[in-house]
Amino acid sequence: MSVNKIRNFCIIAHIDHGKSTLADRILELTNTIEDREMQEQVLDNMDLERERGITIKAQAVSLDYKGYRFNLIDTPGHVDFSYEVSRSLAACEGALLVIDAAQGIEAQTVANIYLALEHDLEIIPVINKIDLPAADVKRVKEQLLELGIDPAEALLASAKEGTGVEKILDEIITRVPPPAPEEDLPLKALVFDSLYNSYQGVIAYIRVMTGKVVPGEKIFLMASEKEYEVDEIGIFTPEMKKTSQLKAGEVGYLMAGIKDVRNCKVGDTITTVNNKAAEPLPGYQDVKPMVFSGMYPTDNDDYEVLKEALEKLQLNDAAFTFEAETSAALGFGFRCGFLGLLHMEIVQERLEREFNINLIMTAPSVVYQLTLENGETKEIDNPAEFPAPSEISTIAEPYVTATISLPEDYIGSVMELCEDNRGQFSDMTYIDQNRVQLQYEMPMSEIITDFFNQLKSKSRGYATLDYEPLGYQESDLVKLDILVNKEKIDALSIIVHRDKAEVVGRELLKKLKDIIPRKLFAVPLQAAIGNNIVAREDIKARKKDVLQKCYGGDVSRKRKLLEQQKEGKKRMKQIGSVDIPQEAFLAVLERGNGD
Amino acid sequence: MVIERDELALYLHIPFCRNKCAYCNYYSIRAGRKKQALFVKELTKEIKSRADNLSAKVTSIYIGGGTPSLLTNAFLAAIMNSIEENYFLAKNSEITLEVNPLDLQKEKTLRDWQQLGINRISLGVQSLKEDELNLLGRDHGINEAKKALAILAQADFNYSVDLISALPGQQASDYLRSLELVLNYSPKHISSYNLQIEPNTELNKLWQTGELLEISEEEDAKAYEKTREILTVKGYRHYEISNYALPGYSSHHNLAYWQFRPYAGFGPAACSFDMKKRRCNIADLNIYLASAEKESSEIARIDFLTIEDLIKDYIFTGLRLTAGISKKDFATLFKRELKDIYEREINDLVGQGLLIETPNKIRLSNKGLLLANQVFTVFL
Repeated sequence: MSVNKIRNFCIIAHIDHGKSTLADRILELTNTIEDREMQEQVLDNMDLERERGITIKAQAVSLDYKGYRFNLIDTPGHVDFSYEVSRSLAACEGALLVIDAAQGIEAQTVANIYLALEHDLEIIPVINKIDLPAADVKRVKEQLLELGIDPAEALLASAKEGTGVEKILDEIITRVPPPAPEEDLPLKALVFDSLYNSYQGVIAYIRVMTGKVVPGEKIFLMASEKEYEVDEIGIFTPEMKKTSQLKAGEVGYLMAGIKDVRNCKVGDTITTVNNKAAEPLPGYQDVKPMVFSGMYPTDNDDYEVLKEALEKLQLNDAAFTFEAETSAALGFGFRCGFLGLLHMEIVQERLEREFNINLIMTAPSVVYQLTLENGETKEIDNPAEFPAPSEISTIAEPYVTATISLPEDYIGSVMELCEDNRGQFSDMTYIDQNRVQLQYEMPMSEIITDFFNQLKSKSRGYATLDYEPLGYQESDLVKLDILVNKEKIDALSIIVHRDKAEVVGRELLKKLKDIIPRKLFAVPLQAAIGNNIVAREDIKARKKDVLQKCYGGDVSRKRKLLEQQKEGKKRMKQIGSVDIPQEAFLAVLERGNGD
Repeated sequence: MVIERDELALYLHIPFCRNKCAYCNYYSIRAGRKKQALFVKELTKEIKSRADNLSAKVTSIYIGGGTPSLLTNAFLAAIMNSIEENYFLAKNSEITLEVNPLDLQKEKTLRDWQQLGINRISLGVQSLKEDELNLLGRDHGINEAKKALAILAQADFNYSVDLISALPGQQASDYLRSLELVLNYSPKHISSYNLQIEPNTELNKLWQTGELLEISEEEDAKAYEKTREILTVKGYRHYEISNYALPGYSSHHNLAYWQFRPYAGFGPAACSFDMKKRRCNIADLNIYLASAEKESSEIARIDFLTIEDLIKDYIFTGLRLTAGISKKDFATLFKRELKDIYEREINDLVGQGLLIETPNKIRLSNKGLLLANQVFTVFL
C-alpha cells in the first residue's frame, strides 16, 4: 500500500472518557471485528484492564477504511506510564483527543495534549458522550480555546451510541498527515511496546520510521546493543497476521527470537546490521523504577513460588525490577521496583490473582540519594538500609511537579493538603470558569503516601492528579524506626521530614495500637529517630477474653468461632512474642489528616 | 460428683417475640395466635415422634426462645402434656420457663405457670438502667422489671435473673448498680453475661457505622471481678464462667451442656446432642411447619462429631465450670488420659497462670476465667 494511504493515530483521553468504547466502535465500523467476536473494550486484553477500565499495555490494530490503512495505537492511560505514552505518540502522526462532554478536560489530558503537541501530532478533538444529560459542549469548547486548540475543529460524538464515529474516520483521512515516504534510508523502527509469550519469545510492537524490514534480516537494537535475526513480521488485525515486509510509515510486530523483554525495551530503535542507521531515534530513556517496596510471602514456604512468579511477570514488564532481600522481621523476600503506585498495585494484584500467592508488602519508598560524612554517595530505596544518622551528611529526595485539576470550590482544602504534604505552590490557572489547575512542587514520597486518596476525599472525587519528575532536592529527612516490645521492626521503618517525624510517629503508633492484637502482657510501641524516642504508646494487656453464653447448639458454633480466632493468629507474622498482622506494614500509608 | 449420662435434658425453642432485641441473634419472629397454634401443634408432634429414640429419664426441661412467656397457658399446657405423655419425667425435674418481665406483672400469672408444673423462672432483666434497656432494644422498662422481680421474690420462687454487662460506653459502676438493685430481690441464681456484638443484629449495624461508644475491656474486667466479689459475699457460688447460684440452685439443665450430658431440643433452631452427633433443627418456622413428618433431613442439620471434635467440645465446655474437668471422668469417657493428649498445652497454661492442675483435675485460675478464650484455643 502506498504510504500516502496510511494514517497512524492514537487516542488520548482521561480514564473513563470513553477511549476504549470509541476504539470498539471504530473496529466495528471498519468491520475489523465481526460482531460475534466483539467483546467490550477489545483492546484491553487483560482482565485487570477491563475491570479497572484502564489500559496498561499499549495495543495496536491495523484497519482498512475507504481504501486507507489506519493504524490505531491505544495508549496507556495513567501517569505511571507516561513514558510509554510518549513512545506511542512518537509512533503516530495524529491523535484523537477524546473529552467527556460532561466532565470536561482533566489534568492528565492536558499533560497528554502538550505531549502530543511536542511530537507535532495533528490533534482532532472529539467531544464524546454528548448523549449524557449533563453534557456541556459549550464549556468543553471554551476549555479547548484556553489550551490553544480551535474549538471549531472539534467533532461531536457518542461512542456509546455510535453517533459521529463515521465522521471521525473521515476526518482522520483528511486531517492526519500521511507518514513521510522515507523507504530508501537505513532502517529505523521504533519499539513502542513489547510483550513476551513462552512460544514466540518477545513480540515487539514497532513503527517503521525509515527504511524497511523483512524476515531473515539481521537486526540491531541500538539501546540494548543486541543483534538478532528477524523470524517473522506482520500487522495486528487485531490478531497477528504475517506480512512479507514492513516499510516506512507502517505499524506492526516483529519477532526475532528475543528471549528477554529487557533486551527490547520500549523506545529502543531497531536498525539493520548491514546498513546501520547513524543515530537512533530520539527520546529513548532507560526507564527506572521510582517506587520500591518489599514483597514477602505470608507463608515462608511460598518463597520459591513467589520468585518464579516475579520472574514470569518480569518477562512481560521491563519496567518492573526485583532482587532478593532479607528482613529481620519478615524473613526472605524481594525488593521490587515500580514506575508508580498503580504499577505496584497492578503487580501485586496479578501476583495474588494469577499466581495465587498471599503477600505482605511493606510501605512503598522512593529512592533517596545520600551523601555520607566520609564523602561517599549512595542511592537507597529501602529505609531499613539507611545508615545511622551520625554517618549521614545530606539526603536528597526526588521531587515531582504535581498538576491537579479541580473545581474551584475545593481550592482551599486542596491547597492546604498540598502544603501539609510539603508542596511548594508554583502556579494556578483557570481551565474554564469554574475549573482550576494547580501546580505544586512536591516530594514524590508524599505523593505515594495516601496523597491521591486524600485528594479525592477533599474534592469529593472531582480532582485529578498528574505528576512528572522534577529531579532531586536536598531535604531534612530522618529515618523513623518503630519498636514493638522494644524490638526494632525493620520493615516498619520509614523516612520522613524531621519536622513531621513526631506527628507521623504518634499517628502511626496509634494505628498500630489498634491493629496489633493485645497480648496477655502489655506491649510498648515506640517511634525513634536513632536512639531518641519521639513517641510512645502501650498496647494494654488483655484483660478479658471470654465467650459468654455457651449453651446447647451453640457449642458447635462457639467451637468454630474459637477455631477462627486461632486461625487468624496463624496468618500474622510472629515477631518475638507479638503477632503482627499484614495491615500493620501498610498502616504508614494511610496517614490520615493529622486529626 | 458422678455425672449421669443416661439422664436427658429437654430444650424447647419457642420462636416468637413481640420485639427483636438489638443484641439478639437467636431465632425468633413476630407471629399471631394462629401461627402460634400451628407451631404448638407441630412442636407436640415433634416431641412425640422423636420420643422413641429418646428413652432416657428426663431430669430437666427448659422452655426457651424467643419469648415463651408470651404463649397462653393453654399452649404451654399442651406442650407440657405432650412431654408428660411421651417421656419418663423424673420426680424432681427442673422445669424452667424463660420470661420477659412484661409477661409477669400479676401474681396470678406465676401461680398459673406453677400449676402447669413450671418450678423455675429465668427472668430476662438485662439491666435496671432505662437508657441501657433502650440501647439493648428491650421492650420493657425498669418498672416492669422491678414488678416481675417483686412478684418472684414475694413468692420465694426458684428464679434466675439475666444481666448483661460491657455495653458500649458503660462503666463498671453502671453495671454494678443494676446488680445491686437485683440483689434486693434475692434471686436464687444470676447469669451475668458480657455483651457480644453478633452478626445480623441491630447493634452490629450501629457498631459497623461507628455510632456506638467504645466497649472497654478494662471496665468489663473490673465489672466481672467485682460481680464475683459481691456475689460471693452474698453467699452465691460462682459455678460457671457467667453463672452464680445460691447453694442447691445451680441450673441443672444448663449443667447438661457443660457436663457433657445428652440433651434433646425441639422446635426450629433447637439442637440435640446424643454423645455422638449434634442435630440442629433449621432456624425457619415455615420449614418447620411444612415438614409434618419431621424427617430429620428436612428440618435438621446433623453434625457427626469425630472423637477429636468431642474431646475439644468436652474440654472447652467443661473448663467453663469452676470445678473444672476431672481427669478420671475424661479417661472414662474417652478411654484415653487427658495428659497423654495435652501434656505440653496444660504445662504451658499452668506456667502462664491461666490453668490450675491438681492430681485429679484441671480448672481455670481466676485469671484464666477472664481469659478463657486464650485457654480454649490452645486445646483446639
